[in-house]
Amino acid sequence: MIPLIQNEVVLKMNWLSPFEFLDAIAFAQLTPGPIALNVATYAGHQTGGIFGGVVATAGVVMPSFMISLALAVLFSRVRGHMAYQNVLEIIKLVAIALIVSTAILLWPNSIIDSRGILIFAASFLLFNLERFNPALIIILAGFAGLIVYA
Amino acid sequence: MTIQTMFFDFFKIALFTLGGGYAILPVMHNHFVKKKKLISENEFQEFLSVVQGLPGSLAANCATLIGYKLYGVFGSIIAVLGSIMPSFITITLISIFFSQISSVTVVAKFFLGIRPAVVALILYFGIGMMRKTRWNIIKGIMLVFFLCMFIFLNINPIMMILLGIFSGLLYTAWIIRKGKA
Repeated sequence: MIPLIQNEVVLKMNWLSPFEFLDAIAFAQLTPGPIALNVATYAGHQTGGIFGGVVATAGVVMPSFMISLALAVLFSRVRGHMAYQNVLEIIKLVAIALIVSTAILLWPNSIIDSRGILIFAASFLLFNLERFNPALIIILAGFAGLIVYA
Repeated sequence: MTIQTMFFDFFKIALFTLGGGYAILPVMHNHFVKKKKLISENEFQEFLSVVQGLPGSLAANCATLIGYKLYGVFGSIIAVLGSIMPSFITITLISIFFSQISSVTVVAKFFLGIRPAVVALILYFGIGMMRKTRWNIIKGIMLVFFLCMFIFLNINPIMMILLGIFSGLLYTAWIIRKGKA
C-alpha cells in the first residue's frame, strides 16, 4: 500500500517531496496504528491542514470499512450453512499460514543480532505465560531495547 | 459492556499497541475473547480469516467485524473510530510539533527492542491458532502448501483465499453428491 500512496502523493500530485515522504514513513512507524493510515494522515495534514488530515484518513478507511461491514452482514445470513463451514475451515489455514509467514518474513529485518534474539526469546516466553497484557510486553521490550543497545 | 466502553477499549488497544497490524490482533484477542468473553474463540478465528483477505488495515477491519457483532452497524462505526483515533491524533500532533523526532536515536533504540517482541507475538499467536485447529493429513499438507506460497513465492493472500473458497465449495459439492449416490 505504501508504494501506491507514494506514487500518488509524491510522483503524480506533488503534495509531498520524496524527502518529506520518507519523514512521513518514519513518523508512521513511530506512532501507534497502521502505517498506511498514518502516512495518509500526515500527507493530508501537510497538504491541507487539520481538515486535510481528516479527509485523507476518511479516504483510506472508508473502502475497507464498507467491505468489512458488507461481509459482516452477509456472514450473519450464511452462518451455519455446510458450504460456509467447509470454506471457513480452509480459509483458517490460509490465515494461519499468513500469520506464521509474516513472522518468518519479518525476522531478518527485526532481529538483527544476538541481543535481538535475546529479546525475542524473553518476550516469546512471556507471551506464552499468558499472565501479562501483550501490549505491555511489547512496550517493556522497547525499554529492554534502550538498555541493551545503549 | 456499553457502547462507550467498547469505544474506549478500542481506543486504548490502538493507543498502546505499537508494532503495526499483526501486533494488534493478538491484543484484541486477549481483550475481547479471553478477558471479556464477548466474542467466542470460533468467531474470532472467523474474523481473522476474513480480515486477511480484505483491503485496508487489519486492525480497523477487525474492529469493524467485532463492532458489528456487538452493536450492529452503529457499533461497527464506533469501533472503527475508536481504533483509528489514536493514530490520527498522534500523527496530527507530530506533524504540527515534532518534525525532528525521526532523528532521535533513543526512539530508534526503543524500536530495536520492540521489533523482536512483535515477531515473537505474531509467532505465539500463529502457534496458538494451530493448537486450536483439529488437524488431519489433508489440512497439514494444505498448511505447508500455503506457507510455501507466502514465504517463497510471495503470492497475494487474496489469490489463496479465492483458492480456499473454491476448493471448499468443490468439497461441499462432492460431499452432497456422495450423499445422494
